Amino acid sequence: MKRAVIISTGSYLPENHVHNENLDQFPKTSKFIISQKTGVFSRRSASEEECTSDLAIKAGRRCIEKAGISPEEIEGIVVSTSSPDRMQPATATRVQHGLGACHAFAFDINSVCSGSTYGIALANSFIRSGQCSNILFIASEVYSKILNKKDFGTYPFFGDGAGAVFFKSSDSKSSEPDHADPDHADPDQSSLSQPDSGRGILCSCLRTDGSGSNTICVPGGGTMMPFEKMKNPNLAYFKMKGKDVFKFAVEKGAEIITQIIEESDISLDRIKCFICHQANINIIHTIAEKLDVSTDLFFINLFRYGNTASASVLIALDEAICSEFVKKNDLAITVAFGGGLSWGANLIRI
Amino acid sequence: MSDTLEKIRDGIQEIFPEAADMEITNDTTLEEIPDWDSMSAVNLQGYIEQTFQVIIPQDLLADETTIQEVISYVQDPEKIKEAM
Repeated sequence: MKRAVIISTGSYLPENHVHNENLDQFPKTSKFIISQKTGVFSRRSASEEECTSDLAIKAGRRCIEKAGISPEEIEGIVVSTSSPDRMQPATATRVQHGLGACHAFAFDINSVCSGSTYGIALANSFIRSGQCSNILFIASEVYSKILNKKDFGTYPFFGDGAGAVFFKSSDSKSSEPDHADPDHADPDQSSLSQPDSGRGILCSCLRTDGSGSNTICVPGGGTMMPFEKMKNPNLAYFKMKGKDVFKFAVEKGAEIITQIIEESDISLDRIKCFICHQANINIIHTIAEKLDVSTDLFFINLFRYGNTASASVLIALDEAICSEFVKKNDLAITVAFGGGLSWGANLIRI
Repeated sequence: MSDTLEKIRDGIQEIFPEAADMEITNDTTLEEIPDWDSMSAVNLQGYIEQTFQVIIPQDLLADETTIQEVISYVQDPEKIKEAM
C-alpha cells in the first residue's frame, strides 16, 4: 500500500531572541520560576511586521529547497495554525502565493497544539487515497501576538516558529532511493510485516474530547463571544487552565503512544526517537517515566524555543533529522496534545 | 469594604475573568479563585506590587493564604515579614 514518505523538512525561527531575563513585565523574583516550571530559557518572537504566513513561507521554502523541487510541482499545501494571519481567508492561501506554488490547492487546519499530528495524518490520507502524489505540510504559529504579554500563566511558555515537511507518495520514483541504505537499515527489518517495512507514515492515532473545549482557548473574538460582547478585553487573549492541561497532557500523551504501539503491533523498544510536542519539560519527563522509556530518546529543543504550539513537532522533527538524532529508516513516533481537547500520534519510518 | 480589599478584589477579577461573579471576602483563600495556580499567582503578585508599591515575597501568595493575610502584608509589610 502506498503511503506518504518524508522527502525533506525545514523550519524557520524568527531572529528576535527573548530570554527569560528580558521579560521585564514580570516581578524580578518570579523569573526563575519560568525555567523551573517549564524548562524554557528563551523563545523567539516575530517582528512587528511578521505574521504567521511569513514564517510559514520561510519554513516551506527551506523545505522545498532541500527536496530539490520547484514550487510548481507541489500539488497541495496544508497549513496547521491556531494563530492565523486573519479570521479569513486561510493563512495557507498567502503561503501558496508566497511560495509560488501556483498549482497547489491550499487550506488551513486548526487542532491547536496537536495540529502537527493531525496534519501528518491528513497528508498521508491525501496520498494514500491517490488524490495527490505530494503534499507540503507546514505548521506555523505566532503566539506572541495572541498572548497577553502580562500574563505569567501563558506568555513565558510560548514562542513563535514554523516547521515544514514535504511528503511524497511511496510509489513515486524519487522517494525510493533511501530504502536500500545499508548504514541505516533497521536490523529487525527482515522480521517486519509488510505494512511497516518501508519508509513513511505507518500509522496515525487521532483523538478528541470536546468536553474540554474551554480548557485551552481564546474566549473572545469569535461567534461565541463577538468583540462587542466582551466584558473584559483580556478575553481576546489565549488562555489555558495550567493544572488541568498538565494532567491531560501527561495522561493522554503516554496513552496515545501506547495505543499507536498496540495498533501497529510493534514493540516500544523498537522506537528510536520520540518527537513530542515541546510544551513543557516536566510533561516530557513524566510521559517518558510513565512509558518507562529513557528521556534520552525524546528530542528536546523547548529550552531554546518554548512552546511553538502546532509548529513544535515539525521544528523538532527538522532539527532531529538535521542533527541525525534520528536517521533514515529509524522508527519514530510524533506525539502532540492541545486545545480541543485533542491529541494524536504518528508512527513514522523516517 | 476596605479600600485595600476593594483594590485586591478588582485585581483578582481583572486577572481571573472567571472570578467576575465570585464573592471575595477577607476569608477567601487564594486557591478558591477559579484558575488559580502557581503561574497565575505571579500575575496577582505583579498587580499587588504595582498597585501598593510593595515587594511581595514568593511564599506569601500560597494556595492557603487568605485575602486578609494579603491585606495585612500590604498594610504593614515589615510587621508581617517579622512574623514570617
